[in-house]
Amino acid sequence: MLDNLILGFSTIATLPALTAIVAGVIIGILCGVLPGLSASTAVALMVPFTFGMDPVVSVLLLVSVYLAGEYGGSITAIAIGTPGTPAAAATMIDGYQFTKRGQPGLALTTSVVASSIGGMIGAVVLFAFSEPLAQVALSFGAPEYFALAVFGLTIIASLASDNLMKGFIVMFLGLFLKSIGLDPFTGEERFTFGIPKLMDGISFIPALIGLFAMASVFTGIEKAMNSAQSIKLSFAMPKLRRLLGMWKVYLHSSLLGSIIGVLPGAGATIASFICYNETKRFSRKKEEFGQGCLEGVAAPEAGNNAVVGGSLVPLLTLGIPGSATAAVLIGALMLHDIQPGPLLFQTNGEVVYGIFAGLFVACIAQLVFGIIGVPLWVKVISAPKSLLLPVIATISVVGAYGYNNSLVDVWVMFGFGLLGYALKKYHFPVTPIILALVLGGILEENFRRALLMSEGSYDIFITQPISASLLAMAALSLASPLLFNRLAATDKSSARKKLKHA
Amino acid sequence: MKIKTALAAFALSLSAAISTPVMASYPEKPITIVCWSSAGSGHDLMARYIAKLGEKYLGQPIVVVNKKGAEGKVAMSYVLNQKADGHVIMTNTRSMTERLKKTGDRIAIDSFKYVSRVVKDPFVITVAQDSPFNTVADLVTFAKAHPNKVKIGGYSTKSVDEGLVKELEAKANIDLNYIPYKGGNEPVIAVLGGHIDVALANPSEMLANFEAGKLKVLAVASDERFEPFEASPTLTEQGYDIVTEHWRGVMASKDVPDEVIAKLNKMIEQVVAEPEFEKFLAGSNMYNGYLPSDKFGELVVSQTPN
Repeated sequence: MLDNLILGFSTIATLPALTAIVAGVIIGILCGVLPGLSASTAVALMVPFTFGMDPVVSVLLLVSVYLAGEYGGSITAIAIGTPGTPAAAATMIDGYQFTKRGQPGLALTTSVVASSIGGMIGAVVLFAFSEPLAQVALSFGAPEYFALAVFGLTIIASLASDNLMKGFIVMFLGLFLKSIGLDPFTGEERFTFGIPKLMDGISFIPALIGLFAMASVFTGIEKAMNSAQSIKLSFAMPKLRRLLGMWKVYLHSSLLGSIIGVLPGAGATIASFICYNETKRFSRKKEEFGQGCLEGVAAPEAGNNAVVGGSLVPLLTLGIPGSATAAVLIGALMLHDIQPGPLLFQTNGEVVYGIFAGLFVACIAQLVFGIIGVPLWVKVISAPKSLLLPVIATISVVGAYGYNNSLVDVWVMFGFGLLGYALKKYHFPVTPIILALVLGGILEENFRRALLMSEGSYDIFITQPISASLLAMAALSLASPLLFNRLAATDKSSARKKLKHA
Repeated sequence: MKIKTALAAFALSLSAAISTPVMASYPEKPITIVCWSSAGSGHDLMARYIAKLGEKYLGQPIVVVNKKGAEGKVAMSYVLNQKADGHVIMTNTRSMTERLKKTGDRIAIDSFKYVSRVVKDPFVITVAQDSPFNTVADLVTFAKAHPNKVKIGGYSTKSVDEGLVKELEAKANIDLNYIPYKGGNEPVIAVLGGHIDVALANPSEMLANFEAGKLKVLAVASDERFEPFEASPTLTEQGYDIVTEHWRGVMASKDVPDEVIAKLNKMIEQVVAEPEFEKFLAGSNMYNGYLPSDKFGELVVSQTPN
């Protein structure tokens, strides 16, 4: 084990390798900040640049972009309430509250610390447990993915616990929107109205930009434009003791994130929401979540950066990508004559252990550049609204267009912008749409695939142990906030009764 | 009046200028290859290698642009809307043209001229190492006794993969349970995890696990055995006359002059012969499938069902 470690670190201890890591981290953070560029798009865009590079250097560059891209998304989520990457939608719930309160520095610092720790723990998991975790990846078939998606959707019950009905209305709206496009099993067109671009369904990234960035522009226009930033933004960073005090959250979320990362088809967005929800579930101060709670920032960020290490497990051990980004990485590796798969550890050990060591160094680079960046981002958001809003609107249009060089995506973005604006105005939660768009496809496809496998028998969902336990957890997860609310309500009313009697 | 005549004369000369054949100096400006899958995919890499290696033969830069969506329809309608002078061409795949009609639609097989086929990607029928099946005969015997019980996974529905399964079902007179997956390597994962019995895959999707001894190959669906599966007989050798290959190539709008198509075909022929391209193919487990324009066109038409 130790000689592998030494092999890894000695592989990357070259000037080109370290330059690639630092460059990758900076590019990744910047791509993450831009709402149109998710981590996977950023990596895909970088692939042609790696053609002429040494294999290890090119993989390190791509992995660093991937890692830092997952972190960068949280910056815009916290600063302007617009997730730069889909996974940062969970970070936004609590992170943006800090900016509203005038303390963006607290959330921004927590986010970069949690991301870097998450990334490191993910790397350790990749190094130490890749063999057993590869088996986990294989044990997930259609019924298991269906159950995982159901479990993911029940998070809505806790995200929208103050008004469950509104949460579910928005969720079903999201599931309906997800059904637009070609039927995955029969190839029929559904709700496309003859627009070829809609055959692939609604593009997720433009929808995300619309729901958050464009909607915040609309809301901002509605509020008096001339009312200068009423709250003074402070540059304060959290105390070291407060950051270290959250070690349990980091550890818990990172481990959870790495395991979700291992599952092909799950990915960072699902990991972020599940980590947020689980941290809330086991927290002693549940009521603080959603109001601006550092744990609510740390959990999803640690989780989505740990996904990076996790998603490399099936990639390196089985030759199977654990996420869309990892799929791009496979292509890049094969270009350099490296065949990811069970034999990679023997044939190209220096690449595997180099990636592991590189992830570690990239986390440190990310921490450094992230902390340096905090005052910069605070400065950017201190700009007056009359400047900030047009910039956000422009970036939204460019980001939606650039996602796929298509004007249809720009209209989708505007449409979701109006939807997001209306939802906000009538106090509907927006995040259930994101969850539904992410999970809807997994839910439908695997439900139908499982039924094909079982020739129509629903038993397949409960006879498989993993799927049965996930479904049981889903039921619990759905019922527990309801029960807690009921209990809290009866507590309050009985307290009121006592008061009356007194 | 004078202005009108002047305008008319101008319009006439303009239209004359536009319709003057341009191929004399083709290519006179950079060439765009439109690719219908995302940057970094195997398909995209093929386009980028053609661009990188082909520039010197044409004397103009070649740029790859990705236009994803609607099973290639977005890219196809984009190419058809450009001036048909051969400066905007596109990559194609069998799964893309197979879904088109021969003629009649706005986007149909006859809307295009087929420049050259570049790569072929044969199919492998694979099972897990511990599977009771060792040959196609084992599979057929079991399936005859247990109709619709053998779960066989492939990529997507109404696809080349499903076509291969249907052909095998018809020729062997059996009934299999075809399970469509969204990505090409998902069926391989499902076989490795024991969720399905058999997977159809292209070599690049299963080679790593085959070499590690986790997968067995029942048959290959090509006209002759190929590396690294020389030990596995073809379907034809095992008594089922089925040859199914995936391929990728290059096509252009049907109005592009034949001379331009010939120049493009020549360029691709030279690119495919270069050692660097051969290295790319070997690295991504794809096979040289070069076919010139006329043969490629015939192949596409023969593989179009309606």
